[in-house]
Amino acid sequence: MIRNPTSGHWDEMHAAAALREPHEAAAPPATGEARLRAMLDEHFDFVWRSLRRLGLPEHAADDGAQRVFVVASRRLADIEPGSERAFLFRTATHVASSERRTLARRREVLGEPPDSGEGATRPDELLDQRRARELLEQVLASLPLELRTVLVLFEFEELSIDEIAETIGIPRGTAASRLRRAREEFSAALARWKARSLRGEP
Amino acid sequence: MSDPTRFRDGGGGEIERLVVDSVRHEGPSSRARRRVEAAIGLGAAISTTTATTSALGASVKTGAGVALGKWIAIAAVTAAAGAGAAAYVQGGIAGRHAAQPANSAARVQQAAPPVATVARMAPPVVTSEPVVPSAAPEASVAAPAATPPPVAAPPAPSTAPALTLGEQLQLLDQAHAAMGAGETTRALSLLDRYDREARKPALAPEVMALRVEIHARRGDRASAARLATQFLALYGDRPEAQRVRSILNATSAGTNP
Repeated sequence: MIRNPTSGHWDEMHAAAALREPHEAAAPPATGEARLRAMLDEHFDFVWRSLRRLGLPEHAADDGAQRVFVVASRRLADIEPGSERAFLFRTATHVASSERRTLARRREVLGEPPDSGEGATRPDELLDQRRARELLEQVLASLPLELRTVLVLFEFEELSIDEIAETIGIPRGTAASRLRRAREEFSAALARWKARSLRGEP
Repeated sequence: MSDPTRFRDGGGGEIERLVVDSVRHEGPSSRARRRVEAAIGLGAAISTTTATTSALGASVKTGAGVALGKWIAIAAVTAAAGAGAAAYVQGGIAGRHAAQPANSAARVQQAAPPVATVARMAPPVVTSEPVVPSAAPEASVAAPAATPPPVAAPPAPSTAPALTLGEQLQLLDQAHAAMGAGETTRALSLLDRYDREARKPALAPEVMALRVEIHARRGDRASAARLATQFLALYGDRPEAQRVRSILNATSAGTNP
């Protein structure tokens, strides 16, 4: 079951507003530049990995990371100290959605196949890192966005539930329940894949 | 209530662990990081100058965005805005703007010596990258570097406010959506608007690649092929190049891309 994860969630809309608002920013003060560099040092890898786990291929993650930090550089004064990671992740969520739509349209226009694997993967082939990554991308893509984001932050970025709640801006209980559902759906999707592949189905 | 055990630490089955672990060592390249640094004005290749030019018959404050590559050009947008520069000339990409003469490289060379320099790093480098014609993107592309396209008359300077980066992204996204909906005329119209109003066009390569797609979708193979050739000459190492190349191959073969 593949669901469309691009429906508008509040965190996407929040970041969309950040992209939309006109900001002919004044020259950032020297402290702003230092802060921007610190953000880049601390969170660039996080942003890039998040974009990948949110469904972007590598080259698109490069572009997406650039877009995220360009937005951050223009909104620097609006980002409260201590909430940099949350701002960047929310912006990354929106950018990833936008890029995925663009990629989908390109495939539609050009008739290109999606960036999936070269065929069905069997369980014994999972030791092949590339195939495991392809399977991961397929399974993550099947999750609704609100579940995927908490799963990515917990399993891959190793944030605690409290940190996830703060990053996404939701109550802790909501983060915990989303994470539980995300893990269940993730495991269920893998179980379905395993059953299919053992039957020799693609 | 404590957090659950992560898959990586045995909180699920073996498949979960293998799949999650498969990306443990994945990370961005140093090139990707440098691109971002350049784009937000932290890179090592941005220099902004203030100069005067007589090209438009008026004294205009001009900063010379240094074109060390496509992303550096984008960086100039941010750097110029961030540094408070009044305006800038951006080799190649900014040359698309209708209010500017076609050959921006020549324009930069003709500019008066810099009055002030905000030189963070390297000295300015002006590339001879050909300029993409704005108002008539399907114009001659056979030898873009050697022969500037004919210009009938200098277009009137735009009086519309410059688009912010967010607005540029939005416009590009709208054009994508229009193309996806089959409204190719509207998509081209949106891109024309981008060319008119984006005085600091940060997304020129994306816009050009999208034009190629739109022409291909309209069945205008000649225009698609001309623009694709031009795109590859300008931005051959962009991520979009592969897609543009496939369109060009399809149009050359006479098949639908």
